[in-house]
Amino acid sequence: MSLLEIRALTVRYKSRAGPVPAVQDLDLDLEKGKTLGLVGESGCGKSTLGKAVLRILPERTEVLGSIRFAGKDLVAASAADLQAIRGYNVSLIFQDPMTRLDPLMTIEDHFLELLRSHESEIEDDAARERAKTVLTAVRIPPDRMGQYPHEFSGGMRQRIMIALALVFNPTLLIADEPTTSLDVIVEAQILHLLDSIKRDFDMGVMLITHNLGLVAEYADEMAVMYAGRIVERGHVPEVFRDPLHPYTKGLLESVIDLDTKALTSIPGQPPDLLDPPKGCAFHPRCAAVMAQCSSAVPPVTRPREGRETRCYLYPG
Amino acid sequence: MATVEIVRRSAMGRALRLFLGESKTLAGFLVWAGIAIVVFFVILAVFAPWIAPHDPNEVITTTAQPPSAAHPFGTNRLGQDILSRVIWGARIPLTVVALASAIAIAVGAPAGLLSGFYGGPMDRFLVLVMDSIYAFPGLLLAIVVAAVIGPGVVNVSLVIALVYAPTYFRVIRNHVVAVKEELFVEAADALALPRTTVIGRYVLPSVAQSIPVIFSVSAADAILTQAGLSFLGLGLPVDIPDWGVDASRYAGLFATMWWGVFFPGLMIIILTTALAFISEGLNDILNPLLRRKGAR
Amino acid sequence: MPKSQGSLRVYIVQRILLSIPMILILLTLVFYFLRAAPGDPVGAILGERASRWADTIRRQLGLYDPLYIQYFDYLRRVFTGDMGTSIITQRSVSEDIAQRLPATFELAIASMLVAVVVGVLLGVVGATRRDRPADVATRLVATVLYNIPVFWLGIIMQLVFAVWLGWFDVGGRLDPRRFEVPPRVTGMYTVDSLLAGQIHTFVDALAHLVLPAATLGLVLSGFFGRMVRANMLQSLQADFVEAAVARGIRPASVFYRHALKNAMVPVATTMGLTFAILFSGAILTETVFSWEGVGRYIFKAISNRDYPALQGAVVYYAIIMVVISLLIDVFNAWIDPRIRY
Repeated sequence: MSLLEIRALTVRYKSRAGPVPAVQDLDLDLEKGKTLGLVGESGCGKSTLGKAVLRILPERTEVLGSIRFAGKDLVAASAADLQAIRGYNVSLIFQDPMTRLDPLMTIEDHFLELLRSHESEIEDDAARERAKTVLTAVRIPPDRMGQYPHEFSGGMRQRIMIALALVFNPTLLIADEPTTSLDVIVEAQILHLLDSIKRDFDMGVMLITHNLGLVAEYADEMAVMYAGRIVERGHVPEVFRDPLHPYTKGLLESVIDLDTKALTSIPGQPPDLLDPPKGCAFHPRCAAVMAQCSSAVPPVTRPREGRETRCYLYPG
Repeated sequence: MATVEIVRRSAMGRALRLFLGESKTLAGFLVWAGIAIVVFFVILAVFAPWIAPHDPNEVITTTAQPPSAAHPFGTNRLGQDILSRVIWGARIPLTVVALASAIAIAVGAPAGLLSGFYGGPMDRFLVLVMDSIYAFPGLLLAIVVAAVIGPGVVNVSLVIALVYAPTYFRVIRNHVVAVKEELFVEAADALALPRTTVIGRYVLPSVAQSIPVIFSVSAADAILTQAGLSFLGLGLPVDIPDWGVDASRYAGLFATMWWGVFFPGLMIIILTTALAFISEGLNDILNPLLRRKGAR
Repeated sequence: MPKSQGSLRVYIVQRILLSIPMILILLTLVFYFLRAAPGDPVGAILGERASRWADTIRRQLGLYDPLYIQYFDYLRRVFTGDMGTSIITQRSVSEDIAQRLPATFELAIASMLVAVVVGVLLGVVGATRRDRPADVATRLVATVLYNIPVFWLGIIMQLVFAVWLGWFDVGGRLDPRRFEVPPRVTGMYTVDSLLAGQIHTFVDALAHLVLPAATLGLVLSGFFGRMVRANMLQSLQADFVEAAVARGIRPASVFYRHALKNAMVPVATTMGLTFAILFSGAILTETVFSWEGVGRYIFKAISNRDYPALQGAVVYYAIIMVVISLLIDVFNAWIDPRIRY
């Protein structure tokens, strides 16, 4: 059984202009001790997916399908169950560390509150010790615990967020663009840190990013998202060597390296989710478009061992 | 021509066109309701001689009478019909607020514009002075000045203008300072456009949008301040019908003659609430527009 | 563990230094309006221009001296606390005011309490039930409350609760027929009676405080309510609130500790403005309820053309305003560590 099993997940935001399907009919698996890289452009639904797992989407959002974590269905779970799981078995770290800590509370306060929320009997001293341990693990000097968030840099705040996320040794960590707002050196440090923690604790990690380089470096499996659907899945080295879906190919081609002579990009714009193209959402931008692409959404097929894609180029 | 373009493309222009379409939203409804009520009072004030059933100073009954069919708001101790007095009483607050706001805008807005734009020691000094006046309790300031310069509609208007000019100054100045930081002003400067053009074409339209909002907020407050002044016996001669003056006259007699205080006060509440509706509605409509424009 | 305390002291010093020019400006403004502005202040107040009585007063007040002499004399007297003698009470104005200040203070605190409690209630209900009927209702209530003339509400309160229902006295601070003023420690009857162990007096003093505090407090709560609602809406959407939920923090903790606390910070920041409104409203409230505080003193000074009393009271008000504003800013810096920088 996978650590995380998502089946037929659909998430719809309710807006004034009508329901917006941010995620559609999505299947995903994540194994213990492995990192799954979830890639896609802005607006493809990957952040929504991350938040959907923890069920922290706004109230007026429709969530259909099933999300099974260690066998338990999170879509049907009660509020109390969810609160117990969040931060304890499944943790989420966000993209923008600058605004994710309460400005009126010290770091120590954050930890004490967290520890008491899940282990209400814990004593202050014991809680402080655990906080110090985990802060040391993320390389934040524990004697700075009495300081306020605004006294730390962005990179440090992200590490504090990671520390908070790992206090209870969760089995699943969802990292939503954890380093997007940080400079590359700090980025390397943080991802390296996450990677070693993952190995130490046999954690499953969902790394949500638009940076293919990070996926290549740190992820074992990857999934490519477009307009709310997964269009390709597989082992990282195989997908990179032999991309199937035209979108994946386009993404890989647009990555710059030292040999790049001219910039290439995928023509066109991501679709308007309120009024998406008929059939395959990517077909208006696809170089290999065929007649049937505009008829219906391509079903998932497995053209090779361990590979999945949604494209009429690879009929089942 | 250029100004028309700017108005048309500005958030305010879009807001105006949005009003006509957005009456269905709460914000739109509020604004229309508020405007309707204010207009109603203006009509009452302007056409008082024709609308009021009696002359406000005319003695009709011999004693104070409670509300009845003949006198829906009752009569006061001098035998005057309160309904008529209340209708005529709309004139003073509306005149004072209109005049005071005009003066406050005429003084506060340009001062804020120039002070914010040019900065420097003059700006710092003005800000200190205006902030001091602004921090001072409005009614108290009004009392002090009114006590000294004496009664009269124009005098009261000057007093109220003094109390609210700093509000216009502050908001506009801060707005100018923020707009100054915007890239398009920097670009205009880099192109060596004359300063007056930069102010006139770029800064002014953006800033001018905040004036109606400030107005509706401070107008409500101004009416309350003016009523407070009248209640304390300052600013107006006693026989002119005015809501505050009338209320004060019968404050002591509220136990036996509740209608003497109740109805003038009720009018104040309705008018100021209407102005508050306008300002809330305006805020709700203009703010999302500003946000969509990408302004901070 | 180094606690982040550093610049609170520095901040306090800076703030005090900033208050000095503000006081000077206010004093100068008061001086200008009561003396130097065109127009004859004494004549306007006394209601007559050319009379020997008016002339005597003018001479007494030094109004025939050159302006700059008057100004410095005025400043000197302010700093030595000599604001002249009240024409009516024939006592030192400073004494008069010191006598009445605690009453106003008592009223201000009680009103603030009412305002904050009612305001937070209105704001929280509105924010948590956004755009639903409860929200519209609370917003309407808050708007109307804020726009009610204080004197009108006071009179209606007297009418309903004192005259028609008979639950309270119409005005005053204490029932003179049954109780004596408690021994003066602070000047606030509620506190003093408690300190002296006079429980019945305390209850009576409290009962007299109810209507005026409710009047002023309700009007102010309209202002607070709207602010709290707006702040709560923002703070409920805040990133750190979302992050707290994602960590499995208990909902009550998220709501009160994170959202509400952060929402109240701007409220604390605008308390300076709130006090300004409070003082203005106090003048009217005290007049309506015969509450012998500084506000009523000002009203009587105006009615009786008591010029020195008026000037003295206004000067004291100005200074108190600046001091309170200073205290509030220091309080803010204490609760929100970001401000100290």
